[in-house]
Amino acid sequence: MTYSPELLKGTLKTIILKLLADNKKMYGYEITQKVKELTRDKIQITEGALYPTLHALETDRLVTTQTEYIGKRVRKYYSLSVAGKAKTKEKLNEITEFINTMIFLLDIKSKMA
Amino acid sequence: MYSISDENIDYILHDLKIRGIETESLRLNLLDHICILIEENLEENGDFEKFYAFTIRAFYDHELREIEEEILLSSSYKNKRIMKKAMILSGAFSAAGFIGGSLSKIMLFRITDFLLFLGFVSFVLLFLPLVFIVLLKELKSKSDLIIYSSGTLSLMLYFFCMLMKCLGLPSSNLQLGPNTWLILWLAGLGIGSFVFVPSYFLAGMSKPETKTSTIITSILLVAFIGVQFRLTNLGPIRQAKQNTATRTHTFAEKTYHQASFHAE
Repeated sequence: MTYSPELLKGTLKTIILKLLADNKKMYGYEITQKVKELTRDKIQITEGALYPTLHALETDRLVTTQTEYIGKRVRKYYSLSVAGKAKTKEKLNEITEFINTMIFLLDIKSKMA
Repeated sequence: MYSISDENIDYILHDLKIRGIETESLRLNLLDHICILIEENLEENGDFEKFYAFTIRAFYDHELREIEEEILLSSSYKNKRIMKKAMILSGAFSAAGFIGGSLSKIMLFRITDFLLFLGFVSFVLLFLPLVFIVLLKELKSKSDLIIYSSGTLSLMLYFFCMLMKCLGLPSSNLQLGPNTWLILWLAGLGIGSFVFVPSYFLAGMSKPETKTSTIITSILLVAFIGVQFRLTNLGPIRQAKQNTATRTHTFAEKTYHQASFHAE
């Protein structure tokens, strides 16, 4: 089962920031594969969602970039900036609280029990 | 495993451009992404073009341009937010200048002119241009452009002349020539009454939901401009006209005398 893009939309920035916090530098394709691998194909980040999000993070100066030439191709590596590291913590706290609230709101604990 | 050639790369880059990917960093990111997918999934002797067409289709719902549009949307939204913040800040600064200037005038402080000057300058040179730029970004029709530009220009001229008058700066001090401020003042009122108010009125009346508010605002604007015009001292212009008439009269009289002298 894969999750719907609507459900993922609000969490994509947090996912990417956390991945970059755990891995020193990553490029676009690598991020999609890592997410697939970690979630056992449950979350599949589309290219249409990934690149605009990376661009937004770059504009907000939360990530820095490095380019590497592979023949005629250019590979762009993303890594967290100092502001990005602080933002990652903030986003993780926010999502943890959100998940707890949702568990409480949807009464998921009692249903699971 | 397929090995991507330079021709393949040129083909992909060209196709991405045709499909509307203008942002270079996005184009290069997509190129690398597609190349990896092709290298990992296409057999050594596979059909590159066919596989490329199949791969790229998975990137979008309707058109590949959607990705570019998403990026542009987020960038322009951010710019707009910054502009709005700057507009509010300059407006607040200007208001503080006006309020401070007015209070110090009541208290007879010497700083009055300086505070009013700051208020006027930030209003005319920062706040109004920023309002115009923010409104331009929300432009819906050509008539909106006329309304926004004529309104901004009219207000800028009005407040600029008001500043000169309040500070008692004679036009000659600014080396703009005689009566310049009066001409600018009248130009401001003229643009306001003959361009801004009619275009605002026509645009507002064309929408049923804004009819009443448009009528009320237009009447208030006409009344305001009328009062401002009534308060305008047209003396310098009349004086200039009178001087020209006198000069013409004297010249005619002189010519007549000279002509009659020769006739004698």
